[in-house]
Amino acid sequence: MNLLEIRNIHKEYYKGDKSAIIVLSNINFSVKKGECFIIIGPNGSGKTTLLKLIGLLELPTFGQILYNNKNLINISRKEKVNYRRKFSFVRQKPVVRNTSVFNNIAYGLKVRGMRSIDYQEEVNEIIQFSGLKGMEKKNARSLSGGEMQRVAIAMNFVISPELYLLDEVSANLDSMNLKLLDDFIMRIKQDKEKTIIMSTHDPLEAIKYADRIAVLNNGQITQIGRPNEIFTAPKDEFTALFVGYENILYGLAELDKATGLSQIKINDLIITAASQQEGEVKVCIRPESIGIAKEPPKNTSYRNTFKGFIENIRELGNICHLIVRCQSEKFLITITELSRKNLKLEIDSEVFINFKATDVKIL
Amino acid sequence: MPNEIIEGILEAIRLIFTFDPEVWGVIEVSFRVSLTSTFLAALVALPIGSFIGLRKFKGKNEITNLINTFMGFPPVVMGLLIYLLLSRNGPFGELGLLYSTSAMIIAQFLLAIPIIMGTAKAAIESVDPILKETVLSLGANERQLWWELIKHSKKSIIAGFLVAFGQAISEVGAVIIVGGNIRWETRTFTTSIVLQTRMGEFGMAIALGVILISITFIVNYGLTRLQARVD
Amino acid sequence: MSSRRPLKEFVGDHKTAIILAIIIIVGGSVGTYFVIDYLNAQNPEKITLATTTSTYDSGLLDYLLPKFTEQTGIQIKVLSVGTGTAIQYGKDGNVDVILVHSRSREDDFVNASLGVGGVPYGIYRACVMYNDFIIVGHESNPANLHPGENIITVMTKLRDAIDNGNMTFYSRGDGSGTHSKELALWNLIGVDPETRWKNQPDKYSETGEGMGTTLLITYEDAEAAHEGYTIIDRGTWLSLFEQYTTLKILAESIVGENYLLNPYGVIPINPILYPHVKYVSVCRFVGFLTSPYGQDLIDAYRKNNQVLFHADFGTCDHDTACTTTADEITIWKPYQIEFADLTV
Repeated sequence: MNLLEIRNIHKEYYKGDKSAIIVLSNINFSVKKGECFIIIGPNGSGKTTLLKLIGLLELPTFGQILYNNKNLINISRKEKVNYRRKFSFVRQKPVVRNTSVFNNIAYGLKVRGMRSIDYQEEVNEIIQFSGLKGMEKKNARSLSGGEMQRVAIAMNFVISPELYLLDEVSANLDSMNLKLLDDFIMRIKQDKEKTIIMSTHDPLEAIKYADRIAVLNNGQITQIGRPNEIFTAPKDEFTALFVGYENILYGLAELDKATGLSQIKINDLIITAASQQEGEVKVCIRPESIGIAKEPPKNTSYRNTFKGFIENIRELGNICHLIVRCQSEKFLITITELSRKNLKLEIDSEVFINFKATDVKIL
Repeated sequence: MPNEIIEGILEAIRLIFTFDPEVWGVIEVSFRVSLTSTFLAALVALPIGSFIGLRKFKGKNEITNLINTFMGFPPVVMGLLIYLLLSRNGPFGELGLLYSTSAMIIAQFLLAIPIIMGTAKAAIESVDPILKETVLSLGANERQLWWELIKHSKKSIIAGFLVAFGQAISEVGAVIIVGGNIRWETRTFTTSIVLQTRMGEFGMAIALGVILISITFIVNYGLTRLQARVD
Repeated sequence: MSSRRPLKEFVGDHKTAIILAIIIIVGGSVGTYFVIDYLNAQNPEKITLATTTSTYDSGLLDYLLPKFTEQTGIQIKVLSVGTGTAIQYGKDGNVDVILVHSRSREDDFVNASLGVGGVPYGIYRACVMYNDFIIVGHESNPANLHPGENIITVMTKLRDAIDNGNMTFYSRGDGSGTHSKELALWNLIGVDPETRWKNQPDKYSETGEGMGTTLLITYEDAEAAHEGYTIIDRGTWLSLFEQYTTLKILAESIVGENYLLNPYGVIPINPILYPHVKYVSVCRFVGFLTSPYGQDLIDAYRKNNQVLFHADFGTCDHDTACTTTADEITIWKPYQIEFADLTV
């Protein structure tokens, strides 16, 4: 069952001269419980507005937002508060309340009617987790931007909502805070009861966290699908240009004692990656780092060589995309039109593809 | 004339430190009336004004215009209105409140309401809209949001209170009409200054003026310090 | 955690109760004011007197009233306003008694046919005292007034000097007793200043202010072309003249003429029209003012060693432009007995 359904949402703002600016039009999608749904799009595409509409912070011009099959448009103020309490909303540029870090983080619990003695432990735990230990009594407004973002994230995570709305939270974060954000998101994703809707303009972030991705351009959704669909088969030029191309594979990583490298099993395919990771992983290989040949390569230093056949060819001016199927997986490979002609690569040609272990990026 | 000002200042110091009963009586009435009416007005106007600032509703612009108009309501006209209401042949004449501090409190209360209401409304509206969204998204209901915004606009609200208090203590037209400038009872700084000027006692008038300005300065200073501390 | 923590928590957890308590405390204290003021208004031993600025500002009442309170225990709240306002306050029933100086309007005030439904606003007017008006101006005296001139000559000289642009006359213009006296004086020579010098403030200017302020304006108008004149009651003049060195008395009452005399009358508000007035206490007050003791006190009052008011109850004659009827004298006799044994 869908947790959230967005039906035909349309939003326009009115300027001073009463002329309308259409921010979102004809938006339709649904999100399942436990899913991580990512909205990707350039700045000004309407991501923030869409998240605000879902967070009940604004009203659409028309359309429906269904949560557990209940339409959230036109509900009473009281009900709206009750639904908002099931959500949280973290924004790119956080605003904190003009009080201590502790009180900021505790606020969500306090407004839900918890007494201060009851939430001490929870708040302290999240302060510890966010690396804010020792800053509890500081005024949150006196913190640096990164610390403030941590407070803002902690503020929303402590209330443990059903649905997390994250609006470009990773933008402007330094590596230390990115790591913390990553820990938080991973912690939510482990909990199958929690749902995330997140917006970003960073394709890698989308690949990393998304179960499904919606591409938003100029107020309209151009494509919705699993990450590998979006990144290997973009529906239109905008999507292709904006997200770029990536081969995305899902597998189980095991550490090979002999080499000290991860062996990732994807059905019958085993990929070696320059990493020590284990467990379920998501793997990215950029199409231009994959080599292709008609004969099995000899004396190659490439650790990964697979035999397959060309399933499809897309010509894009002087470069072209080849879709090569190796057993269960499809790989997108970019080569120049000239080398394709030289190699006489046609549909159904038998080929060998290879790539370095260092080009295998584990997310 | 400068001589009179210097003499007035010396006289002010003498009156204060010799605990002149008349002057202290005037101080007492002025502050009792101004502070009570301003507090009372704040009690009424703050919730209403901030609520208007909080919500969007039909007719909000009209209400805003009305508040702004009443912010500049001429005190003398207010005095006259209260006189007519409290006059024995008026609707509330039975109460016999004319020429009492109660009547003065009522007049200044009504004068202070639009000032405090208007500043509270503006203060709430000027809070960063992102803060409002943040507080809402953290699950605050309307009352909790309201309280949060009040806390964030404390400074402007205190400033509004100061303006209202300043107007109340320096106001003369309304209090002289409804209070009657009765010695020991309803005589304030300003009505006393009017009387002393009329009687040609410029020294005394200046002395009272000096005391009024000094005390208002101290009160303002105190409240401004408080304003700085609330941050 | 600091030691302030428990208090903050207490406040946090009892916010509603604390706000409620503040409302109750503030509301309660304001309510107390209202109740006290309400009870004061009901107290028969507290009466309100509306009088003119001239009696109050001259200090006469501050001198008289404590002696009355000492004897009777009755406290008097004094509203010092212009005669017109004092009479209006009386008509509205907002005061218990008035002490004013405008004989024609006082007569209207006690005239049954000008009251409400045949009931007059005030009853049993009594003469209390008189003082006199004087005409003051700058020493240069462009109107060329001389001592001992009769009022017709004085007003005619003023009119001509105004017409010739040699001076400015400053009128109170506020419906006060002084203002109505001034208009009556112009009327003696058939001049209506408000139409004759309409919109010519350099000739005839209405200040709309009290006596003190009007005198100040007159003093400050010392330009050669048109210097200021005004009419003022002697009491106010005596309390102010030292500050206005260039001003002097240019005309005053002469023997056998009462036009410049300024009689004061006291009138209780009619309890039939306004049952709430504290008529009994007011009667004791009028009894005090008209008693030999009260009259002696008035005659004995000095400001800057000058006599300001002359008592005239029951002795008034044509010279003071004031009469108290035999009926009124009879009415107030019983209320004067209370003060019979007192002497100044």
